Amino acid sequence: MSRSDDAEALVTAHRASLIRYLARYTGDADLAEDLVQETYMRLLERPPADDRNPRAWLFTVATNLARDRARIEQRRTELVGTTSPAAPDDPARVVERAETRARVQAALASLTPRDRTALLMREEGFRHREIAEAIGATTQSVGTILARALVRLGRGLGVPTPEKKETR
Amino acid sequence: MNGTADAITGHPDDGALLRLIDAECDAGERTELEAHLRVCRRCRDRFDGVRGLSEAVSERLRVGDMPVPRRGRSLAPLKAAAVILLVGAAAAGAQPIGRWIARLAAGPSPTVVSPPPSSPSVPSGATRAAHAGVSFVPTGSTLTVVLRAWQRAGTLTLVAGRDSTAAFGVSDGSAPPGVTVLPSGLVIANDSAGSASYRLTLPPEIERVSVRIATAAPRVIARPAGAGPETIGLGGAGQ
Repeated sequence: MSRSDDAEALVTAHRASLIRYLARYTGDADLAEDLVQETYMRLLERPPADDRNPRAWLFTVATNLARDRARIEQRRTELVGTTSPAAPDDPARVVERAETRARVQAALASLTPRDRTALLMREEGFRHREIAEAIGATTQSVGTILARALVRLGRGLGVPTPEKKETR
Repeated sequence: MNGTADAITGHPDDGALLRLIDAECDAGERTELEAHLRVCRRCRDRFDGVRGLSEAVSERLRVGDMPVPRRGRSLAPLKAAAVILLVGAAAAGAQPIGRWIARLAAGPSPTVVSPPPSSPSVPSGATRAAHAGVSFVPTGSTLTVVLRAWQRAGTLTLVAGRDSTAAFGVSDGSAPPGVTVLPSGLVIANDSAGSASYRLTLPPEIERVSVRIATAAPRVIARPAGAGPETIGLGGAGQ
């Protein structure tokens, strides 16, 4: 087995989770695929010095690549415009799904990159210790960061939050 | 409460409740929190509220997930690039980059395969156009071009084309040691002493090109408008 086989096996094993995470993070499923490929190339070019947690390394690198891409995209938005939507099937369902996605993406985009990373990594099953390493925080503080992010995201999605319940 | 309580109210904060929900507490904190929840109705309600919020947010995220990308891109075509990258790194005296990956698999020692000498590597789906370069069908709206090093001189020229394929060629200078066509772009295994210039003709589907040279941040270039080419220098890290 070659090194590229090993790297491919590693990325493939976490591919579905990585694409879901990146699609949520960026709001662009095609971009998520691009970023998975860039992550794979980064794995080959500059593998981590610390090999204790390759899955966390993949997600951290993918997050950094997504942030780099977002900064670049922000600078050139006016030149290129937005991507076109996928081909429609049932118009009513397409509209409904598009509205739901737009709302979720807007709510996610309202979070800071740090909170978004923490929350979406939790959704992928990462432990607080791993999230802490990825966002540069203490493990103890991750619970607070996540709770705050959940409340903000919940508000953006119209989900009742503990604060709202208390005021009733 | 020790380290988990709100400094003002004395009740556990949301972070502590979430640690309990996520099974992230150590034994001492868990015992302390569970004891408090047994006697504090307000915190039990809040615990239920945080847990309900967590579940509701997860559900909304799932509902809002985008469909599977239009094309499920295999990583397999990238393996050809990997071979060239690995060979290039070894030739440049770089760190033994296979060590970490090999350890993950705990398999036999990795094998390095030499790329074909001075000829482009063209995975399936692409065609080779003799010495002039390659043409291929890119995926997505962004084409990625990776040059492994800054060169002594040379340029990359982007031209808007009308075909559904992209065409890549060496327009002057010596041929690069290896060019690999990826599903999303190209990896050019040039070297720092090179002075080759490259020309890339873009199909209408490509809206932008992301050019990364060595370890520099990717530079995103919008598709050239009209027939006018876009040219960037490849010489020296200062450009």
